[in-house]
Amino acid sequence: MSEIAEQINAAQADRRKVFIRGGSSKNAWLPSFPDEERDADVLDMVSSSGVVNYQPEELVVTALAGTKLKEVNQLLLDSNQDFAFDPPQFSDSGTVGGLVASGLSGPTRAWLGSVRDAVLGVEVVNGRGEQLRFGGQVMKNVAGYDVSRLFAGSWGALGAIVSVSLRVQPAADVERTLQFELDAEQAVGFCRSLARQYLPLTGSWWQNGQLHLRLSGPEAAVTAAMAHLGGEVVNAGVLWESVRDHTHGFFVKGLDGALDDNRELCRLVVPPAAPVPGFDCPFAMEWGAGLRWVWHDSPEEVVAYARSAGGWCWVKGATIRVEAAQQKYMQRLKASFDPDDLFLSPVAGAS
Amino acid sequence: MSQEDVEAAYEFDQQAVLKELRAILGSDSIITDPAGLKPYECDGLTAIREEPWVVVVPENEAQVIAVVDVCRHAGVPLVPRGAGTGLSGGARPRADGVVLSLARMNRILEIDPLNCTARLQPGVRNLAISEAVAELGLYYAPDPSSQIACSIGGNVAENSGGVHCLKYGLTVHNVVGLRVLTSEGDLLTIGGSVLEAPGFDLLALLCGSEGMLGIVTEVTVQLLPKPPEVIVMLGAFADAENCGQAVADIIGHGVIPAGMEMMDKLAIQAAEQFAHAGYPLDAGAILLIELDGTAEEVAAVGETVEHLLKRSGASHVEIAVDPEAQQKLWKGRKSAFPAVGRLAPDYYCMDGTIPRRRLADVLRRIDELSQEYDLPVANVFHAGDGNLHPLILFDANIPGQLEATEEMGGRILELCVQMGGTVTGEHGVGIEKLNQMCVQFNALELSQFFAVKDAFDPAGILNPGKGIPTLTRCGELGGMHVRQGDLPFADIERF
Repeated sequence: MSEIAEQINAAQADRRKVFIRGGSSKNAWLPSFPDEERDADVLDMVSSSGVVNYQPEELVVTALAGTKLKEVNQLLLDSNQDFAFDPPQFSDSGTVGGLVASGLSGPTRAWLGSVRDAVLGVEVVNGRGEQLRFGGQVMKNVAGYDVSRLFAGSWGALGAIVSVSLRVQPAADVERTLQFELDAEQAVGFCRSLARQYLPLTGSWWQNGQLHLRLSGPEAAVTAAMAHLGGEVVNAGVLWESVRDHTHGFFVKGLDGALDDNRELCRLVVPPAAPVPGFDCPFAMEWGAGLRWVWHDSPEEVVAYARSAGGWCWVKGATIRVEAAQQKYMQRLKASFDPDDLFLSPVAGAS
Repeated sequence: MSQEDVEAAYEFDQQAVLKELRAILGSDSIITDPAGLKPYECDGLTAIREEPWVVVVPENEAQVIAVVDVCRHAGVPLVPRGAGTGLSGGARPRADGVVLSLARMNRILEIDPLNCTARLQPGVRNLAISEAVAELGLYYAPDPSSQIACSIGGNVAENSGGVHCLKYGLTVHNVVGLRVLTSEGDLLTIGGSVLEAPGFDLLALLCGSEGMLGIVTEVTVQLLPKPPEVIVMLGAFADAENCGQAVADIIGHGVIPAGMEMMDKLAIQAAEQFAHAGYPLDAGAILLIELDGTAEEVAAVGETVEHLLKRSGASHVEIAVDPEAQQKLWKGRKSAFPAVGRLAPDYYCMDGTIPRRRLADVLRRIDELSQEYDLPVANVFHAGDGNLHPLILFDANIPGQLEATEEMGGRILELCVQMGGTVTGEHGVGIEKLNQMCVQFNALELSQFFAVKDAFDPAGILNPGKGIPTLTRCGELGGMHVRQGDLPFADIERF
């Protein structure tokens, strides 16, 4: 940890920017930083790796930031556990620190919670080179401001995550996938009616007139839900992994996702009951319709739709935009951790 | 404002400020007479009292904004207050400040059955949310024991938990949107009926910030479908060690119960006398387990849990299927605090959290402390999430007993930190646990907390002196934070 602090202090002394790098698996989501910032010092977190503590019956795993997510997943699986938020693995290089810094949750998000929900504690180094510890390894902790959860989705803006403690859950006994033929509007209506019923849902994926629902949990619960829901039981194969990791054809530029090379991938988080947008372009939905994907050649239209629907849109590879009133406080928060504005980040106004 | 100033008195022209407040609020929304101020002297932490200068009870957001404007311009400290049920003195007033009660802003603004959310004013009672959406088959999951009285705004400020939070999470996991007024008069709309908001996670930061970063004027909560079936099980054990083992076995087996509560011998005896729940009086510890889900799920998991309880050495297992029998079993646990309260003139409730595997060690150490101080302790424990509530019995009328109790309580919390836990799991720091914060956090971490506070409230008028201890305070304490051999607060003078 002190090496990290030394590098930050050195950059601070020479007024150089710092780019905190994990496994680089999410680079495609980052904006290209201005030229003068491209030669920023790279703070390579990958060398600091290893699981520090894992006690399955405590439902907590603590790992150094550079630990490969793949390795942690395997470790959890060996004890029949997993992360509830089913984090994306855009490549095998993804790290635990990167998953927290990005805050990106997988298909289970709407039912089992987010990355942030699972963060119990962090050790970080801020822009003053100070080594700080917040939260801990216990489920309930209201001592001081919840700084550890603030680091989830901060994209490196506040400091380097050195280690993190994350809640884990028992893995589901069984998993089944049901398929329904529904257009987008019908799918939204159906998903919303399901949200008022107690069901072991852990995933939804709508595209091209087909809705897939994933059920997982105790066998008795899944079997009862299948009988109740109807639909066609299908062998999902790698469907859920491909949706999570964006290897599904929809997400691959040049495949059925975006024939038109000028189209950009827009990620919309909207109230799940929001009306289906009228765009004539590739469209998909997850999270019971609360997460939507659009390939569009003028992303501004998508941003406007998301806003009018009460949500927001992040265009892949662009800055994450925030409304002005909040931006003021986010900038101040950034400055409270990183007064010299060392850390590069795609969060709007953070740099 | 420097962090060292928060405990100093605030000076302002009281007559001028009062005149401005009267211009904003109706006469029944501003309290200045001693009889009217009396109920606001303390919150649920009744041992620490102070008469506030003025209490305001605005009826709408516009009035809240106007009050904050006046206080900002005049430099008047504001203590936000919900239902006043908090247990750590977070709403303890100041003699030189205004209490801003949000109790009258208690309307449910919108129930959205399609998005399964409810938009609420901060004064809406926790239980009133679930009552209002019951006909839709929905409910709001966090259920602090004070849920009949506590307000959703206060729940956000304290990040309240409850007996079901192992499975369903704390307030932070169940709130999706906030409207927050900062002391600078900015009204922030964070999130909404959405699962994520852009940028830093301000919602997570504000949950549990004890009214020190902003004033919540609206809350949007996520509603969940009510599980169709519930069963409650009781397992009786000879001692706490076996009981703790059963907890580890159940979770290790992949079962996450909706609730899992443990009580020790003294707590069992007190609760049984008080509530007649049918608890076995010869048990050294009992475990109450609630399972929920579909009928098939509950039946299957119930069988597994029964087997695990017996395997861990439970001498007696009881299963309550019908709601009346379930209520009876829960009644004992839910009345544990008042029941223990009958054993002695006063009791002091601690709120540490520990890794579950340390439970037996911690209980043994608490027992030693109990003998050392000659003060009985009853323990109730949210066993699923490691949140321990030792209740120290004492008599404040015996000179020195309150001080001895506070000292012993402090040592219990320090023990929790040593074991890898925290000084407060769900009650908050408020004014009560400021000293123990010095044990859990070092000077750099506390300074970072103050920097976060400054980012939101540079004038330092929101609930000053709560939540985060000043470095001076920590420096003056005897038992201080030591980590990896570093001398804490080395830069502070000591006399």
